[in-house]
Amino acid sequence: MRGRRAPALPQAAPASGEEVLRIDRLEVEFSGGPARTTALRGVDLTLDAGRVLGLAGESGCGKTTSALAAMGLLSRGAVVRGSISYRGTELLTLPEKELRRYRGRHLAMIFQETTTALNPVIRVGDQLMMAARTHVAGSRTEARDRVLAALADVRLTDPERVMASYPHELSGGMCQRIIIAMALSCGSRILFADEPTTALDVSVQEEILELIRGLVTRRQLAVLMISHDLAVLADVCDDIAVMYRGEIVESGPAATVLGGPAHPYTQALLDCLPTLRGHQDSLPELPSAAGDTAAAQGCRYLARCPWATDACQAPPPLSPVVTGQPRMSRCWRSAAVLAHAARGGGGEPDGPGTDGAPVTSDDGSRG
Amino acid sequence: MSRIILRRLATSIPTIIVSTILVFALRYLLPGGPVEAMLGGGTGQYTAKQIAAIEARLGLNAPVPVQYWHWLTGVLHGNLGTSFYSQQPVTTVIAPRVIPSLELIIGALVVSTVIGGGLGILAAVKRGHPAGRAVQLGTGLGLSVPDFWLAAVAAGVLGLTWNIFPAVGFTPLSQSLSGNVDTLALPVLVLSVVTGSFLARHVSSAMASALDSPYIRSAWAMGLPPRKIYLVCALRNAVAPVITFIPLAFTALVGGTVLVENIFAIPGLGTEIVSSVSNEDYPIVQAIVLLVGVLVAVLNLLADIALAFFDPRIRNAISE
Repeated sequence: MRGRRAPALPQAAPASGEEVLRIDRLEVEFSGGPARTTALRGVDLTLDAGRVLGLAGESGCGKTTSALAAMGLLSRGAVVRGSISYRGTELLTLPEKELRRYRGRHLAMIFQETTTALNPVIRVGDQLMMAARTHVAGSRTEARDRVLAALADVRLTDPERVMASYPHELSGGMCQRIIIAMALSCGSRILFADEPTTALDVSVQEEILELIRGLVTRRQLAVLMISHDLAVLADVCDDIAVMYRGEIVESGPAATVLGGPAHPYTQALLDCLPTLRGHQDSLPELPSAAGDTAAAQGCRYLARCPWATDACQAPPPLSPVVTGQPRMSRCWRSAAVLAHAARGGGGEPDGPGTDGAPVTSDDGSRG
Repeated sequence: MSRIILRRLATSIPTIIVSTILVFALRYLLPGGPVEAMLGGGTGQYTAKQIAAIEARLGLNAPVPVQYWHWLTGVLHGNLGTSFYSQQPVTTVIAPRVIPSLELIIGALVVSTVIGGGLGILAAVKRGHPAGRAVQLGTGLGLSVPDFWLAAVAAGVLGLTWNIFPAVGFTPLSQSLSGNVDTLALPVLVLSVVTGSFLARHVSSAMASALDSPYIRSAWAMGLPPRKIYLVCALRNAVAPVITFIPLAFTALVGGTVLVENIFAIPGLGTEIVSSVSNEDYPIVQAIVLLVGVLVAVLNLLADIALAFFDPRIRNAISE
């Protein structure tokens, strides 16, 4: 059909820590009729083999859109700009037919739905076989061996019985394991996991997260874990990026970011987490975002931010919080927020006096 | 599976029994009752004694349940009575009429399933595209055109003006296959327009909702070829509406054949029932209604079994 040959796909397994996916200045706009909605405003992300990057933020902030853009699964009305490169191949300019060879073979994605993510009228085994034979040529027996290996890899006992079952005969946790096995049965290097545990109860959630962690280590898988639940992300991620209204507002190593946020939004998300130690009767709420459209010029978090000053009328860049360290924050007052967090966080923000000072010690006068 | 069949049979048999009772009751619903209907010219010219003699001969003086029992055992032995009009056994009158009607109905079912189903799939896959919109528009037209008008236009334009197919008449299958197909082409076409449009709408909405579901998104994310996604993953979930549709379509087509057979002069059950009703030949009417009722009950039974076969969730729900 098409005369042009696609660039050869990288086959060798990436080395541990090797950068496998790079998203640069990704912008996505949806045009539904006359209205245009900007979903992403210049997102940069990198995924490394054997590491988990967490993507946090509230509904509609662009977490899923980022992953769908990388998979090439956005709806037809979406306008995508920027660059998404998989081990040297630019994915955004690939025609759909070529991109299909990457989906499921190099990049895989799993979703929040568990039981409904499998076809209700086809046996699990047939679905797994269909997926396993999509990208890899070979006999049925070979494909079956790969499916059985994948099922063993996701720690499903009695794979024969599982393969003979229909999805409605299995539990949500089992279905999610099967979906992971299916997604990885053709040897994908990258897994986009969009709220993979949200539909599961807490004990099963823990098992699935452990499973994903194990796969990351065993297969040198690169994972983008999308969740609104910071507790889940704290559990599995090496790095974390927090998104707000189509922008990354803070990123860095998970422990550092969650241990002491440098952006007021991350701080606000953390304040909403229930703890066993605290004796709160109610959890704090984020101020509503309703009517929050005026801040088109300045910081997008301005209207909800308790730290806002006059400087915030200008858009802040995503810049290193401490020179020489990998963590970034999109806030004019990162240093003050970080210093506040270092003193225990919570409560009222500091006044404008502490701005701009490099964070070396607790130099704030108020607490 | 056999448990499902048994369970479903347990509900079909009462349905069939009730329909036989209704059919049996037909003779009492006719104006003047069965004797007057049989004598034709009214009972005035006969003495009470003569009427009583006829009633005794016909077994009409027995209690009604006994009459029903006699009639039912007769039916089960293939004895559907004697036509008042031609004085021939009902089975002899009806048998040659069954085939043209069944040919029409089965032909229309096949054509509307293949073409209507195909268009439905196309409409769902090409949602928002010109092709999809064209199908929606076409099936909308097909649903709103009255079949008697369509039959008249088909006979007039395709049959008489353009001479593509014979406008009226019927050549039996036993005489000539091509002649049979030729004479049935127009009536089948007319019957298929409405049923096909209806089915296309049905399939398209079932396909569309399947295509929007999480398992299809997962299939795209796995890089499955579109052909497989549409024809294996999504279509399997759109089979159920087609199966439930077939008995419904059958009943609608039975009504359609009455009209179409009369317009195209086809000697089927539809023309027969019309003349029998006007002749007050109730054994014939009874036999035709009974035949259709039993066929509908059997088709419903088959459809339910097929549904359980195609959808494992139904199978589990029934056998639990």
